[in-house]
Amino acid sequence: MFSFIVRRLVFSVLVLFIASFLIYGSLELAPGDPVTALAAGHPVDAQTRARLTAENHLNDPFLVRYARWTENALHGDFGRSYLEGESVGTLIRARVGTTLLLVSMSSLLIILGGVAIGTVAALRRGWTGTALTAAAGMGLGVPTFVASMLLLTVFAVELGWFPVFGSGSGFIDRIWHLTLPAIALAFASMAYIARVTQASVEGELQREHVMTATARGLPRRQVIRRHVLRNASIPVATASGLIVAYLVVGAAVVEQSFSLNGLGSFLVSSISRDDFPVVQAIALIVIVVFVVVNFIVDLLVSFLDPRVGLE
Amino acid sequence: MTALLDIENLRVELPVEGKLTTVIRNVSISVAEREAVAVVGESGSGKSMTARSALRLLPRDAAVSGDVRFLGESVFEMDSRSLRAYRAECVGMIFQDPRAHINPVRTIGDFLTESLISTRSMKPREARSRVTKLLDDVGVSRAEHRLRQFPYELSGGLLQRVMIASALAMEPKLILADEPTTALDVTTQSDVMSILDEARQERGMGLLFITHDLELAAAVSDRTVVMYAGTIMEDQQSSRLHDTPMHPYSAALIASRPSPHQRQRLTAVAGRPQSASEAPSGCPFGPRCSFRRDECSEAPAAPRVLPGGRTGCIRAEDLGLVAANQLEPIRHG
Amino acid sequence: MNSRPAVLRSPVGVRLHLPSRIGAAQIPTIFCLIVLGAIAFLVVFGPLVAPQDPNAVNLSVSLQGPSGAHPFGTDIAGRDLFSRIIVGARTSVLGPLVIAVTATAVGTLVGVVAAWKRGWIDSILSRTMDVMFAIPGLLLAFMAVAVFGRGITAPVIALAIANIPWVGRVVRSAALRERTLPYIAAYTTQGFSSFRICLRHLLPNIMPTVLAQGTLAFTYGLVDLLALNFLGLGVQPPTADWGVLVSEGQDSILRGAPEETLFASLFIVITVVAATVLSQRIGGDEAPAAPPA
Repeated sequence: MFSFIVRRLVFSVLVLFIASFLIYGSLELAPGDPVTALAAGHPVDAQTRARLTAENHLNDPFLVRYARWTENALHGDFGRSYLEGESVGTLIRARVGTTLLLVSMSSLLIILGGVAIGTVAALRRGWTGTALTAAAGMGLGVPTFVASMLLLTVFAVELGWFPVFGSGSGFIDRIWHLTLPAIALAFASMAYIARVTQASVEGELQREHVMTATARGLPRRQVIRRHVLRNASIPVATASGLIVAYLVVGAAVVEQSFSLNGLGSFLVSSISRDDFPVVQAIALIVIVVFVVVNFIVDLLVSFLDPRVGLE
Repeated sequence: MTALLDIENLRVELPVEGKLTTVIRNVSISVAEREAVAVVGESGSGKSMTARSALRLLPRDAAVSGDVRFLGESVFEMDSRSLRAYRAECVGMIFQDPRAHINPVRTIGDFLTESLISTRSMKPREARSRVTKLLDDVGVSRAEHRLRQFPYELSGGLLQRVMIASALAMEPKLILADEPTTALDVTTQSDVMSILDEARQERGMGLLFITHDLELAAAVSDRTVVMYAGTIMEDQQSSRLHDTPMHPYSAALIASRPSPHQRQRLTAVAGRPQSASEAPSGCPFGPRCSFRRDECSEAPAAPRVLPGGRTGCIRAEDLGLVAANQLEPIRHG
Repeated sequence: MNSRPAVLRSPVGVRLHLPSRIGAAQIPTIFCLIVLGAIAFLVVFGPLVAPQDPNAVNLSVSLQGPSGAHPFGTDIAGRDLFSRIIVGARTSVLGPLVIAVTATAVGTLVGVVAAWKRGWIDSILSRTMDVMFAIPGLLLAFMAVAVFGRGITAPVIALAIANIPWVGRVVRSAALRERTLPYIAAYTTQGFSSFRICLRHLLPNIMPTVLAQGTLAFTYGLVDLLALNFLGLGVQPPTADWGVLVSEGQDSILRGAPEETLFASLFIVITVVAATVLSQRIGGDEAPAAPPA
C-alpha cells in the first residue's frame, strides 16, 4: 500500500508538471503579440515596446520563462493581469472564496444526494426504485447551463424564493445566494453518482460473498452495510473524485448564469479579453485541484480496498 | 426418528429469459444425524440448486414447491428471524469458490468472527481465540497471523480451510458442502477433503456433499444420490454404487470413468447432458439410454423406493440392476 | 465430434443487443432512435423545413408567447423561435458528431492496441490517458478559444482530444477481457495475424462497448460545446444555436418570457437523454463510464 501511495504521488507531480507545461506553453505560443495585449489597446511606440518587453522578460528563451513562471506560481505569484494591471494573485484571492463555497456545497450535494438516491434505487424494488432510476437517467441529460436557467426561471424569477444574481455578503447570506447555483452545478453530477452507486450496489448484491454472508444467518441490515455498501463504496469513491475535481470548470458556467464573481466567470471573461496571465493561473488551479482531489481519493481507496495497486 | 434434513418433493423453477424453467423436479433427499450424503451429478443437474434450497438461498423470483424440513421444522415456512437463526446455528455452508465467496476487502479474522460476534453476541476477543484454535484444527499454520491477512494473500487451499473453519465455528448439526474442492489445485483437493471429513466426524455433524466426482463421493459419504436433469436417478449406499448401480445412467457414468487398473477403451455416455427443462417427460435420461423402451416416457418423476435404496429406472428389475442389491435395507425418511 | 466446441468460436453478434424482433423490452431503444432520427432530420433539412426565416427581425412581435403563427413564440427581436430552434439543430449537433466520431475512432485504436500489445506500449498509452484525464474537456476547449480565438473549430478539436481517454480506457478494459477468452487463443494458436484477429474477431465482439462509448462521447461533446456557445466563446449570435439561444433568452426570463431558454433547453435535454439511454441500451446497462461536464 505504501508503494502504491508513493507511486501515485510521483504520478501526481508528473501530471502537474506536464499539464502546467501545456497550459503555459500553449498560451505563450499563441498567435498575437503580448506587447499589444499588455498595452491594452493603447498605441505602442518603440520605447514603450522595449520597456514592456524588458519588464516582462519577453526576450528570454521559452524554457527560462516557463521555469520562472512555475517558480513564481509556487509562491502564489502569477504575474500581472494585462488588463486590470493588478497582480493576478490578488485578483484571484478576491474571487476564490465564492468558488470554493460553491464547489463545496455542490460536492456535498453530489456525494450525499447521489449516494443516497443510488443506494435506495438499488435496494428498493418496485416503483420507488424505478422512479429514482428514471429520475437519475433524466438528470444525467440536463447540462449545467440548462439546469441553471431552469432553476433561475422557476425559483428565482417566478417564485422569487432565491436571489437572481450576486453572491451575497456574510456567511448565511452567501449560502442563500449560492443555493441555486450549487444545485445547478450538482444536478447532472448527482445523477451520475446516483447511477454509479446504483450499478455498484446492484453488482455487489449479486456477488457470491454476499450470498455467503446471507447463508451465515447475518441480519440483512448487516449484510447490506458491512458487505454490500462497504464494497460498493470503492468505485463510488473513484467516480466522486473525478466529478468533484471537474466542478471548478463547471463553476464557470454556473457563475456566468447567476452573475457570481468567482474564478469560473473570471476565467471566461479573461479568455474573451485575452488576459493570458489570468487564464494560465486559473487553468493551473483547475489542474492542481484535480490532482490534489484525486490523490486524496487514491489514499481513501487504498484504505477501502486492500487489493489496490497489486497488479 | 426424524431426519436431520428432509428435502421433500422439491420442485424449483427459475425465470430464464422471462419464462419459468424447471431446474429441479420432485427431488426428495434426507440426511440423518451424523450421516454423510453425497449428491452427484453433471453440471446443470440441479445439485447445487438443491443444496441452496436447503438454506432457502434461492433467487427471489424462483418458483418453489415442496418442502425442506430441519429436525421436523419447515424451513420454507420460517419467518425471517427464525430463518436467520437456522442459517446461523443449524447449518454451515461451504461454497465452491472460496475466493469469490469470502469478502475480498475484509480480513480473514473479520470473516471468521463476524457471525460469532453478531449472532452469538460473543466478545471479539473471545471469538478470535475461538477461531484461532479452529484454524489450527483445519491445518492452517500461523493462525494468529492469518487472522490479520486479507483473502488475496492466501492460496485457494488455505482459503477453503478458512471457509471450513467458518462453517465449523458455529457448531452446526449439518454441513452443506457445494463442490468444496472443485476450484482447488488437484494436490490440495484431497487435503481439504480429508480435513473436512475428519472435522465433521469428530464433531458428529451430518453432511450434504454436492459433487460431480463419483469416487470422491464414495470416499466420504455413506450414501450417494445421483441426479440428472433435475431428477433423482438413484440413491443407495456409496460403497455399493460402483459395483452395483441401480440405474443405467449411473452405470454409464461409472463406465465412463478411467480406471488405473484396467486399460481399456473408455465408453462415453452417448449424447449430451440435458437440463431439466429440455428433458422429455418420463425418465429424463431416456433419449440417451441404450435400454430405453416406450414405457420409459411414462415413468414417474420420483424414484421408486426399493429395499436397497431408490431408483428412477422402471426397468431396473428386468435389467438385473436391483436383484443383487437387496442385502441391507437403508433408512429413508 | 464434428463440431468445434462453442467456446472456440468467435461469438460475433451474440452480445450485440440489437433487437432481433420488436418486443416490449425494445420500446425505449426504438423511441430513442426515433427521437435521434428526428434530430438528424432537422440537422440535414432544418433550413428547408423551417416555416419562417430564422433571422427575420420584426420588433413589432417581440417576446410573444406561443401562438399559431409562432408555435414557440418569438424572441426579443421578434424572430420566430420555432424556426430558430429547428435551424439551430445543425450547429448544435454537427460539432458533437465530429467530436464523437473522432474520439471513438482514436480511442478505440488506442484501447485495442494497448490491450493487445500490453507491456510498455500499454504503459505509455495508459499513463498518457491518465494525464489527459487531469485536463477537463471544457478547460481544454477554453484554452483552445484562448489560443485561437472565438469559434467552433478549435473547441471541436480540443473536445475530440479530451474525449479520447474516456473511450480509450473503457475500450481497453473491454478488449483486455475479450482477449483472455479461449477463442482468441484458438485463433492465435492457428497462426492468424494479430491484426486480423483484432479486426475480424476482437473488434466486432467489443462493438457494443465501442458504440455505447461513442454515443456517450456524443453527449459529452454536445454538453461541453453548447456550454461554450452559451458562455459566448463558441458560435456567435445571431447564428441560431441551442446554446446561444439558451443564453440569449436569459434577459427575456427576467421580463417574464422564458420561452426562448425553455424550448431550446427542452431540445438539448431530449437529445442528451435519448443518446444517454441509447448508449445504456447498446452497452448492456453498464454504469456510465465518464461524468458529464
